[in-house]
Formats: sequence, C-alpha cells, structure tokens
Amino acid sequence: MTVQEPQLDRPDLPGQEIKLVDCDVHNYFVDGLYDLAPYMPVEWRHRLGLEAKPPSWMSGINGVTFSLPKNDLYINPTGGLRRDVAGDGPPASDPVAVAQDLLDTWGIDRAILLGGAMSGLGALPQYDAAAAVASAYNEWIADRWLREDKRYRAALLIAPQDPELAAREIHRVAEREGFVAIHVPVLSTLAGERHWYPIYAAAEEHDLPLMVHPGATESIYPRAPQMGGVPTYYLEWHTMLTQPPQSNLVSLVCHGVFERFPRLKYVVVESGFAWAVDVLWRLDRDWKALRDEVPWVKRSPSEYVFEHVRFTTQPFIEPKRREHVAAICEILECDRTLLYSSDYPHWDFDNPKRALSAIPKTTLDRVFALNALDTFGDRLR
Amino acid sequence: MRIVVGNTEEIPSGERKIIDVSGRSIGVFNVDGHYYAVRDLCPHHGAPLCRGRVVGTVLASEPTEYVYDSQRKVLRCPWHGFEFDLETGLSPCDPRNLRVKVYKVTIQDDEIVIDV
Repeated sequence: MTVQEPQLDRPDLPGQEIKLVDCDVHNYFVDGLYDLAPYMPVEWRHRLGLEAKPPSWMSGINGVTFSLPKNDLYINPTGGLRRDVAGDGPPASDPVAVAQDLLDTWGIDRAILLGGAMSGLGALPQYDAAAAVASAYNEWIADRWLREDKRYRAALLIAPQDPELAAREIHRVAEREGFVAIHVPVLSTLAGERHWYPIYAAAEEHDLPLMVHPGATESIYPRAPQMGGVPTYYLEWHTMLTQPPQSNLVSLVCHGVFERFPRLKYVVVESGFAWAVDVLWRLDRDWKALRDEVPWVKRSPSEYVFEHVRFTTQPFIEPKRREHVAAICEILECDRTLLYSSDYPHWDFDNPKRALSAIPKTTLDRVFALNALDTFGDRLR
Repeated sequence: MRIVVGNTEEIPSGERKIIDVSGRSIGVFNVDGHYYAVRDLCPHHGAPLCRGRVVGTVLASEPTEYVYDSQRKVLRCPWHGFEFDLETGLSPCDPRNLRVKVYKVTIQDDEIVIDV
C-alpha cells in the first residue's frame, strides 16, 4: 500500500515546559475495526470482512465476524470503562473530547496513546493478519489522533508473533513525528527469549522504549501469557495480571538481554510495581548463589532493572499507612524508575492530584515528568 | 442551614439534581419517591460521585451464594465503582473509615429541603 506521510499542523501550546506526562492513555475506535479499513490494503479488508458491515445479529455468532482477542470471560460488574467520560460515541473515541476531558482537566502536557483494543493483538493466531492490523493502526493513529493535538504521542504498535515482520514495521514507522515508543502486545513467550531479539534490535536502533501492557487475554487465549492456574473471578484475574510481568522481568535479566542490548528500555505498563520489591530481593539473593548458570549476568539483577526497566503508576497502591508508599519508592528507586499513568478511560483511572499523594514530593516531580522525559527523550518535547 | 433545592416536580423518580451550595456540590436524588442528598465528592479519589449510578447492592453471603438486595440503594462511583449507601453514606467494604457525607432531606409543601 502507499504510505501516507501525515501532515502535522498541530498548534503550538503556550509554554513549552512539560510538567505532567501521562504514559498510558487508551484511545478507542468509533466503529471497531471498521475505523481501520481505510488504512488497510483491499486484500486485508476482504480477509478480515471489513469491506461492508454485516447485519448486527452476525456479531453475536461465533466465527462469523472478526474481532481482536480480548477479555470475554472475566466480567467486571461495574463495567470496564469510566461512566463519566465526556464526548459522544464510545468513551475516548474522540480526540478532541479526550483532550478536553483528560488533558485540560488535569493539566496533562503529554499523553502517550496505547490503543485500547490493541493490547490483545499478540494472541491472534494468524500472524500476517495481526501485522496488517498493526500497520493500519499506526496509519490511523497518526491521521486521526496525532494531528489533532500537540500533546498527543503514540506508541507504535507491532504484532510480535513474527519478530521479523514486527522489526520491519518498527523501521517503517519509527522516525515519523509523534511516535515515542513501541507498544508490544504480550505473548506467552517470555521477554528474555531469542524470539524477541529482532524487535529489541530494531527498538535499540531507533532508540524507542518498549511499552508492554497486559493483553486482557491472559489465561484466556493459548498464545497469551498464562497465569498460575485459571482464575474464576474478575477480581482474581485482574489482581493477578501482574504475574506475567514478573516472569518477564526475571526472564529479561537471566537471559542477559540488557547485556546484549545495552541501550534497550523496557516500560512495564499498568502492571503494578510494588511486587518488584520481593522479586528483586529474591533474584539478587539467588543470583549470588547461582550466577554460574547465567554468567552473562555480570551485575546484581536489580542494577539492570533500575537502569533499563520503568514502571507506570496506575493502578497505584493504597496501603493503610501512607509512609509505606515512601518506603517502596525508596527500595525501588522510584525517583528514576516510576512514570505517571492515568489509564484513562478505564474504570481504575488514577487522577494525578489525588492518587499519588503519598509519594514524597521530590520523587513525585520525577514521577510526573522528569522520568518520562529521561525515558522517551526529545520525542516528548 | 436549610437549603431549598426546588419543587418536587423538578426531580422525578429516577432522576437527580446536582446543586451548588457555597462552592460545595451536592447531588439530590429521587429514588422511587424517596429523596436523598449526597456530597458530590468521592472520599476515595475525589471523583464527582453523584454522576454515578443508583443501583441495588449485593449483600455479604455464604460462599457460592449471591443475594441481591434491590431495595437497599447504593450510589456507585463513576470512576472506581466504590459503593456508598444512599441512606447512611457508608461504604459496605469499610464503613468505619470510608463514608461520604449525606444530608437530611425533608419535603415541605412540595418543596425539597436539605439541611447542610
């Protein structure tokens, strides 16, 4: 297909100082994948059934209409999205309304968009279809969102099932204006495995951090990460979505990924962070006894993590005693490892004025903007 | 301080009116002819609570048993879904520490009056 270079004529904002960066905002389609159809070659529009809309009764019949892998099993009784989100149509489907409702309301200077329906893409069994969706998405977000408001940034979406195709997509899009990171949908293949290396090499070449967000496919689809056992309740499933990121973190260190790719940055999005206290303490201790199994791990595991891995805040911890937040921030060196995120428009949205108030003031300045600026660099400016 | 919210016809059953009392936002609800007034500020993260849904509530029960009480009404926060009892303002999860301010409502000559 012909590649459209987006003409970015976004107005400059008054005052260029960046004080608040939201590292996880989910934008949604107005009309599902039909929004992507104009950005797709005709072959894929045909294959995915996006040429014309089928009658509505068809969407409820298995295997007749196409949809991306998503959570259809664990049902949140309050609904997955905030009830008060402004704008017509599906929540967060209108870039102008999101700019007003989220960015203006909370004084957010930059928002990194991770497509709300896209995190489950890795669970799609047909690799080429996933890659076609990713390419169309990158065209769509540049055209529909990035040009609407100077405060928006996008994470370039890849389909990680075929790492060579994914690397090709990174090279295709990476240097376009507005893309600041790579949105990596989750797979059951852990993050340290060689499968990923073409993707890591491409990310490093373009100096783009990886952003890994739960797929909402965990323990539902065979190619998605599996938790320990099959949860019964949404509460179990949602709480334990932090399990696969723990495995990925340990895998990255043990495979020596940060030795092989010394400039790689890996952002763990919407997956909690306080669990890293225990995981890193255990890993550091075991490494002292077992380092001869992984001699390429030359430094204490936590050193690699604090240097290369970043965590986003939402959903933030709410311990009974506020000082426990400060203790965890100190242990995990949050003055360089933690990035603010709201998760707008999801039900567990964290507003910046209130949710993080237990973080010590000097650390909070870093969490709100400076750590993000260090991570994403000039592309945020 | 007595505040006249308006005539009862202004808030039909199932509806709500959000008023400003000296900078304080308060939601006044008509639920099947019963009136409630609630501070429009979630004590959890400060959400505009009174934009939430008024629904029944699932009672604490034995394992595997669900008991839904459609008479006892709660207001559910539009952000995180926390529940607050419309009568008492208490959270069913943590009634000692988590509550929203509720105000007494009376009807006087077809006028809705709250004590603030």
